[in-house]
Amino acid sequence: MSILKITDVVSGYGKAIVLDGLSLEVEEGKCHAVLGPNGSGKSTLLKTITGTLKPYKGEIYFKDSKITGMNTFKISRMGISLSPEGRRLFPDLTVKQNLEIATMFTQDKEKESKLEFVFNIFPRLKDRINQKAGTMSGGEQQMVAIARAIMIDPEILLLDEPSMGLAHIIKEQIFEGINKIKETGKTILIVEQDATMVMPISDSISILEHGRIKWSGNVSELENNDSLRNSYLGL
Amino acid sequence: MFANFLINGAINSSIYALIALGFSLTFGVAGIVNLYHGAYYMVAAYLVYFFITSGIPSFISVVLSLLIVMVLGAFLMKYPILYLQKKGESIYILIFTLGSAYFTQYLFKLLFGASYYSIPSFYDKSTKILGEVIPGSRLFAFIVSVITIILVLLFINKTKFGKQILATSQDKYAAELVGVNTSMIFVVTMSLAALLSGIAGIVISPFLSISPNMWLTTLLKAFSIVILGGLGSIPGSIIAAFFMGYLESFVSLVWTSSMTEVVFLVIVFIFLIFRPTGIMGKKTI
Repeated sequence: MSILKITDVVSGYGKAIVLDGLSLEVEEGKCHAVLGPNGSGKSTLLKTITGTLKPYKGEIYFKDSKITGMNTFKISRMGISLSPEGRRLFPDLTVKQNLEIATMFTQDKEKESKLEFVFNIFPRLKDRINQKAGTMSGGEQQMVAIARAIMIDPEILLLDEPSMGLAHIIKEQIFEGINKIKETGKTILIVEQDATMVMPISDSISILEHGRIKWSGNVSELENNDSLRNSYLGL
Repeated sequence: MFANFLINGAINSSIYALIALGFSLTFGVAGIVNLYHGAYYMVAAYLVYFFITSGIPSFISVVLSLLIVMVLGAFLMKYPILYLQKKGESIYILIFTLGSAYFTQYLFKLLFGASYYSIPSFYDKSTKILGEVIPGSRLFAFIVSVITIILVLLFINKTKFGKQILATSQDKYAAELVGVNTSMIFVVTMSLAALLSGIAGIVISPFLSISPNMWLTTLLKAFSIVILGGLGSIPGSIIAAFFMGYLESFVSLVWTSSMTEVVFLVIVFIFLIFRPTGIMGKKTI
């Protein structure tokens, strides 16, 4: 059953159309990856889902509710959480404060168990709990961004290029964490450029080019399709 | 003489801190330089004068006046300012808030004339501190200002709502991603700023005159303080308010009180040249 359904969405910035009739479905409990080069519309897709950009055309459904054009904070409270491009942490707040701020709209008693959960995913954060987020390394900041998105306890977690600008060893730690999240049954929609990182943790994949989905299918199909991998992923 | 300097400096500083806190909060959270900020101070002073002289008990007059300025602040943010902010031009907001302040000035001039008014003191008993006799009205203004500042700081740092204000001040987009209704936070912040400025306008009314142009001097002082403290920095604003308050007392003591605004502006000018980011150097709510 699909938890997120995007139908024929046209979206962009002013007169610049970035998503041009994009349609996509994400199955509940699965990890779906959207791969594509720079400028293909990956971040625009996530901004449109989370309400930061209002689509010019098309519809977005979360479960059975239409969320097209809704405010970002309402979409977040409905259970769609984004770890955004550039991490966007609260730089003067500590790791703990960054994480706790995401639990403002949940019961206080759940805070501790959620903290334990994210420390289990990214153990390094437990050691940095009182460090100001703005003083951390890029990889650690990415961990905080994903952990903050998880603290909301979303029904679907959206990840915007979690590997961007990170060293290979740090990317591995980040994706190990994402895999742990996936193993809990959480639905994940991840947009990435690095296919080698994202393919092992994904159930299904879409390839985005010029604002349209060029191909969708499961990972094994993509692995067995040399021409597709060569054309779009350079693998 | 030194005791007088110390005590008057503390009283002036606390009132300036109260006004600057609201100005700084509006900039720090919503990124808005609100040139209407001094007008809240004037509106509250006139309203409390009007209610008291209409025979309404002082306490009720104060509460009513503060409620009205809070609603005024919320209204200005919710409708015209947020609308102009969506247009993406901060200059529109500057022009709108300045124009509205002048409109309010002329409205009150029309309603009350150009005369100077004051209201009876909320606390009459003079107190001797360090050998100096301090009028009750000034002591009351100091105590109310300090308590209000402490309460606002506790509200911001300790409550759930305050944490939403903090989050919005650091990154509006990230705050929305964790579920914060930032438009509502902007409205509440402006309302809070109006409340702070309004309280200042009311507590000074027994010993300073209520007049249609009182907002401009107040705005200039608040602006000077927040530039000195660092635009959007609450700790910086409080430090700068005390610096300016004591500077004003010092200038009055060794020169003349009419020169205090000139000295304020010279200090701001020096800071703008040599340390434009202010004392704190960055936005810190």
